[in-house]
Order: sequence, then C-alpha cells, then structure tokens
Amino acid sequence: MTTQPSVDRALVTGFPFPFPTDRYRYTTNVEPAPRVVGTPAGQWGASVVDVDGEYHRELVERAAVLERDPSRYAVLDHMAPACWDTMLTLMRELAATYPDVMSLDGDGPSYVWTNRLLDVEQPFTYARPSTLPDEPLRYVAGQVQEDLVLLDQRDGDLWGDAGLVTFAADWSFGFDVGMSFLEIHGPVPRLRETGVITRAREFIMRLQPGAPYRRTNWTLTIGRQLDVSTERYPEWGPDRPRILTVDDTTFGREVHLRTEVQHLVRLEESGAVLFLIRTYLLPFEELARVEPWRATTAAVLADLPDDIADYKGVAGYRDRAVTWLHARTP
Amino acid sequence: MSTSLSLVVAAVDDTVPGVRSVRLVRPDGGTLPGFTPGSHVLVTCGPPGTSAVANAYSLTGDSVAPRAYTISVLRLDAGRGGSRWVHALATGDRVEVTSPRSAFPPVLAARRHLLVAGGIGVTPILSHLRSAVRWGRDVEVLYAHRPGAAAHLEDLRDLAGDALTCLTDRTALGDHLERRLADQPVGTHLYTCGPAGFMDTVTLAARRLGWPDERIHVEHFGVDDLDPGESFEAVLRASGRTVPVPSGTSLLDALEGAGLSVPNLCRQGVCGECRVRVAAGTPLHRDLVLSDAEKAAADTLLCCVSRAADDRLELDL
Amino acid sequence: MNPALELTSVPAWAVRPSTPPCDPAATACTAVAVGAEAVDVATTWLAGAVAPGRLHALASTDEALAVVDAELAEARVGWRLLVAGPLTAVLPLRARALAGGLVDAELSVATTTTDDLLVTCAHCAAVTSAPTHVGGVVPCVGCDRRLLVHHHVSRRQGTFLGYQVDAEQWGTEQWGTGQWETERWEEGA
Ligand code: HEM
Ligand code: FES
Repeated sequence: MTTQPSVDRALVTGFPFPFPTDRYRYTTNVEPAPRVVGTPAGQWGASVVDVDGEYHRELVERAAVLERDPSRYAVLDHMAPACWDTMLTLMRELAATYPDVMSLDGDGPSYVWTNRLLDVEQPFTYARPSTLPDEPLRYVAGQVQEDLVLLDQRDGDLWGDAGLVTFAADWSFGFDVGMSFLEIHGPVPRLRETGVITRAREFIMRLQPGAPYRRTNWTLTIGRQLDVSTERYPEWGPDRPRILTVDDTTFGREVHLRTEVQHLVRLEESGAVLFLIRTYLLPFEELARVEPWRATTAAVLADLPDDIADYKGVAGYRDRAVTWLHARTP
Repeated sequence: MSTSLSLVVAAVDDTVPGVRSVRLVRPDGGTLPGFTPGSHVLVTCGPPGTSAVANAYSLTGDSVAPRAYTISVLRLDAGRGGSRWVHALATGDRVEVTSPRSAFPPVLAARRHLLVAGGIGVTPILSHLRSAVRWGRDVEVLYAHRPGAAAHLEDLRDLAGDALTCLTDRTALGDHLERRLADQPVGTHLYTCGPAGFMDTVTLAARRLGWPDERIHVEHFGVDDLDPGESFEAVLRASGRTVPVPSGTSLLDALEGAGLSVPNLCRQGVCGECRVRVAAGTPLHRDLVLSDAEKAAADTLLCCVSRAADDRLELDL
Repeated sequence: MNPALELTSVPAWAVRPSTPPCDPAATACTAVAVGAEAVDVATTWLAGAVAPGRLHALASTDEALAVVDAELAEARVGWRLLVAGPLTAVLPLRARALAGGLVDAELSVATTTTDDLLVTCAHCAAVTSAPTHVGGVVPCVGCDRRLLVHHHVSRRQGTFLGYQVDAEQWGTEQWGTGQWETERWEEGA
C-alpha cells in the first residue's frame, strides 16, 4: 500500500462529512447558512459559495460537459430576470468571500466584475444582455464550482424552470426542467410518504432574501467522476459490477463518498429561489484514515434500508464497502 | 427572521393631501438590500428602542440595488398612531425598518399583468409597474381613487402611459372592471391592493368571470409570517428554573439564552430536531413536523416555533 | 421498491383512461379530441359545462397541436381547455397548453388509452413511441439501447424518461461474460 496521499490535503481537511450519527434516514435537514462546522479532519461551511483547489479543473470540466451536451443548461423564457438576479447575487457572494481575488465594483446598473483566478475583468449593465459575452446564468456558472438550479414560485408551488447542472448524481436536469418540486422528487422512495419533501416545499416557499439555508445529501461514486448524470449512465453504470472484481487497494482508491452541500437562496429582485449544489468527493482510502469518519460511514452503510441503498445505486457493493471499512478498524 | 435596518429620513413629500411620501436612506448613503416588487417593510412607528406599533408599508421605489426605500403613508387619524407618527417625521430623523419581505410578487411566468389599485393601495402596484417596465412586460393598470386625491399619479402616468386608466366614480369603476376582467388574454395575472372591501369586489368579479385562484393575487401584508406570540414562562423540570419567554422570542432562543443546549437545525419547524418533552401545560403547536395525533397528545413540542397556549409550560429539561 | 405512482410525476390519467369533469366556473370552453373514442369523452365533458363550448374532432396529434395554438391565441381568462385522446397525443397537447401559459386548473386531460407511451432516451434524446408501461423495456429508435421506462414524466416534454436497462449487467462486451449474465442490478436514477 502506498503512503502517498492520493489527493490534495485540503480536500480532506475541507471535506463536508455528511453523517451526524451512525444512522441515516431522509429528513428535512435544513439549517441556516453559512456556519462553520468542525470535523475530525478540519472544517467546512464558512461560505455559501466555495472555491477550492479544484476550481480550475472543475470549470474546465463543466465547459467540456456543456460543449458535449448543451441540454445541461436550460432557461425557460420567463426566468431571464432570475438569471440576472442569480449572477449579481453570486458575484456579490464571491466578492465578499474572496475579496483578495474577486470583486464587484459599481452600484448599478453598471458594474465591473473582476476574477483574478480566471484573469477576468468584465464590465456589464444589469439586465442588458448585449453587455455580457454570454447569457448571465451560463456566464456565472463559469465562475463557480456549484451547479445551479432556479426555482420559480407560483400557483402555490415551486418550479424548476432554469439551471445549469453538469455534475448531476444520477438524474437528468434536461428532463426535469419545468417540473414542480414534488414532481422532481418523484423518483425518490419514501420522500412523499414521510412528509419530508412536502415540508421541504413549505419551508422553501417561505424562504426570505438575505437568509440562506443549506442541507447536505450524499451517495457513493466510483472513480473521481463529477458528471455521473443519467445521460452518461451507459458509461459509468458498468463501474458498479466491475468494482466487485477489483482488489482492496483499488477499491479504496476508486470508491468515493460523495457529499453534496446544497444551499437555498431567495433571490432579491425576481423572488425566485436559487438552489446551489456543490459536490465533494473523498476516496475511501482517505476517509478510512480519519477514524470517526471510517466508523460512522461503515455503520451508516450497514444500516441503510434496502430501498434507499437501491435508489442510491449502492445496493450491489455496499456489503463490500462495509467489509472494506471494517477491515480498516485500527 | 427579518434583520432590522436603521435608516434616516432623507426627504418627505406632502404634495398629495393626506398622503406623505418618505425617502429613507442608510446613514452612510450606501446601497440597501434589493427587494421583490410588491415587498413591504415593517416600520417601527416610534423612537428606536420603544415598544411602538410596527406598520407594514409597501416599497414604491426601484427594487434593484436601491439607494433609498420610499414609502407613502395615508394619514389615518383613527388608527393606532403609526401613520400620525410617520406624518410627523422630519428630515434627519432615525427610523427602524425590517429588511423587505415579499408577499405580493409579480408572477414571472405571467403573459400579461393586470394591476388594480384602490386609493393608497397604489404603493405596491407602483413597484410592480416599475419592474414591468424594466423587463418589458405587457401591463395594464386600473387606478381607482377619490377625485383630486391620487398618490403617485404622475409616476403611474410616466411609467404606464396609455396602459393606465383612472376611475373616480364607483359605478364607472364597476363597469370598467367587469369589462376589462372579461377581456384579458389567457396568460394574464391579476393583482389588487387597496381597502379590504375594494379587494373583495375585485376578486369576486374575477371569480365570477371564471378566473382561477392561481391568477388572482391580493396584498395581505405578510399574513404568512408567524406572529410573535404571547409571552409565557418555561419551567425546567430538572433544575426547577423558570425561563421567561417574551413575545417575539422563540422558546428555543430563550432556552439557549438561559445556557441550555437543545439540538436544532432549521429553527423553522420543519426538521424535527428540536423536539422537547412537555411535562405539564398545553403547547401551542406551530410546526410542520408533528402529526395531528402527536399534537393532540400534547406531550412534546418543537421549541423553535411552538409556544405555550397559556402562560406556563413545564419541560422535561 | 418504487414509490406509489400517485406520489410521482406520473399523472393518474397516464396510467389508466380517465374522464374528468368540466370546471363549472368556466366562462368558455373548448374540447380538443384526437380519435373517435375521444369525441365521446369530449362530448360528455362539454355537456357538463355551464358555459358555451366548442368541440374540435381531429385525426392526428399534429392537427390537434395546431388547433390548441390557435385557440390559445384567442382565448380570454375564464376559458377552460380539455385535451382528449390516446396518451401519446394528450401528453404533447398538455405540454403545448402549459407552454402557452395555462395553469393546471384551466386544463383537463382525458385519456382514451394508455397502451402506448412516449419515452425520451436519457442518452440520445430520441423519443420512442411504443406499446409498453412503467417498468417496461423498449428499444430506443435513436440509439437502439434497451430502455427501462422510468416512473418519471416531464410535463414540458410530454414524455416518460427511459434509461439503459442493462448498463450494470455483467456480460456487456466490456467485461466479458460470467455468472452475472442474466442478473439485472439495481436500477440507476
Ligand atoms: C429542503 C430541501 C430538499 C430536500 C429535503 C431534498 C431531499 C432530497 C432527497 C432526500 C433526495 C434523495 C437523494 C439520495 O438519496 O441520493 C433528493 C433527490 C433529489 N433532489 Fe432534492 N431535496 C431538497 C431540495 C431540492 C431542490 C431545491 C432541488 C432542485 C430542483 C432538488 C432536486 C433533487 C433532484 C433532482 C434529486 C434526484 C431525483 C431523481 O432521482 O431523479 N432537491 N432530494
Ligand atoms: S429546529 Fe428544526 S424543527 Fe425546530
């Protein structure tokens, strides 16, 4: 076994470990954001948008995914104001979080966006498409690692009417565009029966500007792959049977705990809700070196009900994962 | 949940008899939080720090990166005193307001917007109209007011042009309303703000003409907010201590303030984390988590939103 | 292990034929019927309407789409629309009506048969029309993959989602053949 760390240390210290306890069930697990959470390896959660060492790599990957499959980006006509709102909101958030490298100057309607990480200095006028080199939502998706979904609130419901999602964990954004919040969650077992998702909807509909919330979601992903969308399932699906055939060292290197930190932000002008999905991947071999993480992950996986394991696509190899984690008990 | 902003009066305008417009700015002149058209702020109508009435007033100005919040207030001599207080403000006075809250937004997906204002109810309608013009939306405005007492008439004329119809006589209003409601393209949404009786007239006419509720929007001034609740005392079983819970403070906040740590996540009554056992007293449930049976059992409550039905609650803490 | 269909994006009328009533609040109504059987349903719907109504009997979905467009352009608020016909016709008709600005309350949908489904391939985006059902398998007309019909319907596209049924099957040429030959793994998505 190698002792060389396989990933940048910061990806371990900043990893948002998603399990508060040894037992995982679906709940309406929302909390005010941002708020720093300490972990046995470090901490996470200090900001709504998070730029880390993967910034350039992930933005290049996002562009490549979009190039290959433009359906990952969609804006229904009436969402144009919400896209401008999103862009301005995210630029302000980035500038406030990373003042050394990013800034938004001007107080409207003309601004200058500066991002030194990407060597960008972009003047623009709010709500004037001709002043930007790209549509506002796609433009700002090129500045953040987060996937973006915009929800319109109308008719007493929420509608997923715009977004840019290149790093989906087994769902199809292009297919879901235009659906209601409950329709979007239709494929997930237990959510409706338990009231988890109807409560989430009531909660989101009451969200106010200036008071963002967040939640985490998780799954397992084989290989350091961000784009495991349903679109590309024929490419990554075969990894699931294959992972049962690999040796332990490869298993630990390939199987990743995938945490999505999801923020909910009410946009000021359009009144739409911005849903940000930031994906973090940690290989099991790194996870197992942090003892509380190893033990908790093993317990959660062992206890996970079949329907949830099945839905997450881990049913075929979770026993192997549990055995692998147990074998690394210190 | 609203944060509060401490602003100063930059200008007052008393041109329209009985109506005062007030322009509020940050003391440092900076940009204020943007807001959704149709939003209101709660204005504390009294000197900061006193327990004065808080009135909801719609914001009438620009909603993106605003340099000022402007409100227009009709003087009501028989009211609780809030409007009289606003009418006595002078340039330079300090005013406490909450951050804007949205309860009357334009529907982004609407094909057309029919805005119907009655009297001082024109204030959120004006804000809708500004955004309609900014985004090139198809809009029609009906403004019912008493002869000679029309707040913001110039603003509406400038923004709406021919799309504005003013009505000063009751019968003419009824007829015109009926005709316009019967002849709107199918994607139109209707918004109305004004005296309660006026809004009832408008919505009843719309329903009679087959408008589904999804297309009818009425300004209720934030009735969706949880009200601050009555004050009560929480008695902690384990220590026998009594923790006072004032109106406007949640039980969870009060318990934390008293040094207890209660698990919690959402602080909104949706996640179920902050459940505590009730030993005696009747809870006033305001959460979305507990089932009807659990609520009826009255032996637990979610302390982030729920309170006591009477003045005392004993907790297993 | 799938959720009950009524808790998903699959409308009840997409699973079994239906005959909805007309909203008595309507001030005008139009029924667009595709196929002879749908005309009966539409006639019943119109008979229940309090307001004056119009019936369009059409032979194909394309003709019906054109009629829906024309009606939407003329319609005033207060109007209600019924689209009736086989599922493969009413799903796209509903999508068109919603895109035209109708809200659910203004739109009734009646299915005369749900034997055939429209399935969007998640992988190549082609739409396959075939006799099948939720949980069934159809060959994709675009990429020839065998698609599992998911319990997920897009109101905007008017189709079911389909994804490769055997992506996790041992025995695809990549991994050779072995003991897993016929076993289907847990479904993705
Ligand atoms: C408080 C808010 C929310 C809660 C509690 C919630 C809960 C969940 C849960 C438990 C799952 C299953 C995940 C898994 O087991 O891997 C899920 C899946 C999903 N959620 Fe949410 N969610 C929330 C907000 C949102 C929002 C705002 C969106 C954006 C439109 C969204 C989009 C999705 C999608 C697309 C899936 C995958 C569904 C599929 O399999 O097709 N969620 N959600
Ligand atoms: S903290 Fe979530 S219900 Fe109280």
